[in-house]
Amino acid sequence: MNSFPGHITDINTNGAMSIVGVEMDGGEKLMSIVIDTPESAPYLKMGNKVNVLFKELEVAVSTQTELDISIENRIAGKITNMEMGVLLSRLTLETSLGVVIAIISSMSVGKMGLGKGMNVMIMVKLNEIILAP
Amino acid sequence: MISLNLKKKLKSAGGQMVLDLKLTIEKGQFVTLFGESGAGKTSTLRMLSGLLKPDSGLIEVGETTWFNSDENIDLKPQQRKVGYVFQDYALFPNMSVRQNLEYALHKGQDKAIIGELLQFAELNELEQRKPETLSGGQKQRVALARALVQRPEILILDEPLSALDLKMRIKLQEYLLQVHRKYKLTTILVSHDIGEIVKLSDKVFELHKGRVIKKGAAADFFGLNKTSAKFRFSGEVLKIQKEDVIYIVSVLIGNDIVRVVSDPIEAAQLKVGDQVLVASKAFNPIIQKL
Repeated sequence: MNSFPGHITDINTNGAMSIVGVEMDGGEKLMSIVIDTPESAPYLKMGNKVNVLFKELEVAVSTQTELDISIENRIAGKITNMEMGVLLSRLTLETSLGVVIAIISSMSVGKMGLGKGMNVMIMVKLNEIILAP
Repeated sequence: MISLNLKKKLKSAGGQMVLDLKLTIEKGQFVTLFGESGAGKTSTLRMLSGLLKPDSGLIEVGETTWFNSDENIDLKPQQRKVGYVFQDYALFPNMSVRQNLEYALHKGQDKAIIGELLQFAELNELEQRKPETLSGGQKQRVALARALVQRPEILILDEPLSALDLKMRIKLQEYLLQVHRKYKLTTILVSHDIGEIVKLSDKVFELHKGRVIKKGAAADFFGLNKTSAKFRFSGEVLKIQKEDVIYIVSVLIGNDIVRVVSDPIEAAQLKVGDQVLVASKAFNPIIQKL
């Protein structure tokens, strides 16, 4: 599980759900959608510290910086290590958040020509981000 | 409110241990004592019910002092309003279900309670049967009904369901909650099953070497409220296998085995038998009518 600290800067609530903006300690902004509101979950307060969690397998990798795609969270990173498996590969990326692990198919690694030292964008949909107060 | 402040030298498997315990339980709460074997859970409950005498200390229940070593107060077990249910049922084998309950009546007590309890426990049709002809779940319902005959204020459940299969456990968990509410009891459970503890109890106290080392609301205690994830379960790790660059962890949740993919760094911290939290966002699972 990728886990990084930040603090809450936006809460946009409608009914029982909220989209929460979190400014990470490295300055990047990530967004998460949760089935909670400031009333149901007291930790949802502007300025409150939260950890942002997302699974390695939910990280998408792109070599293009400006993609027209419905993935809200995008961070620039550099591949510092690659462990190639038959079906899956494990990428270690250096980002402004810290070290992010991405596990993607080896097929994509080959097709995209990914390799150590390459600059890429990593992307995570907002429904894949868990907040841990 | 129940207030315990107990000191007692105990002989445990690892030699001598000094139990030094301070514990406060609110009236009407369902609490669990949690901790490894030999931590002092059963000894604490035996001292509360008067089956074991503390070396020193104080037991107060509401306005009444049950034990006070300074003032030489030590109420007899039958004077303490405690119902005790053991893992092994402890029923009299030569008596019928009804006789087992009647034996618990105190002198001059109205017998009407027996009928009420038999009915509530759905034991009416079994009342003439001997314990040996009953299933484990039925025996435990008899033991529970018997513990309620004297209308206790406190119900002690010492691993009451651990000898039963999962289906029966889940059924009896519901029943324990009903009993707790109907008879307005303060209930103290000893259990090692995290799912059971979270389902039943308001508060958990962890004992270690005769002391309370941690307490909290049940879901908080086990860290189940630590994330915004809504699709979450607790379970036990059955298997950890390496596949390609990842690990697949098999987890027993209730009577289902689920599999969770894990990064090598996380998998290295897990071992078979560990209790774990499995969580995902509510947005991810699919749902289909069967």
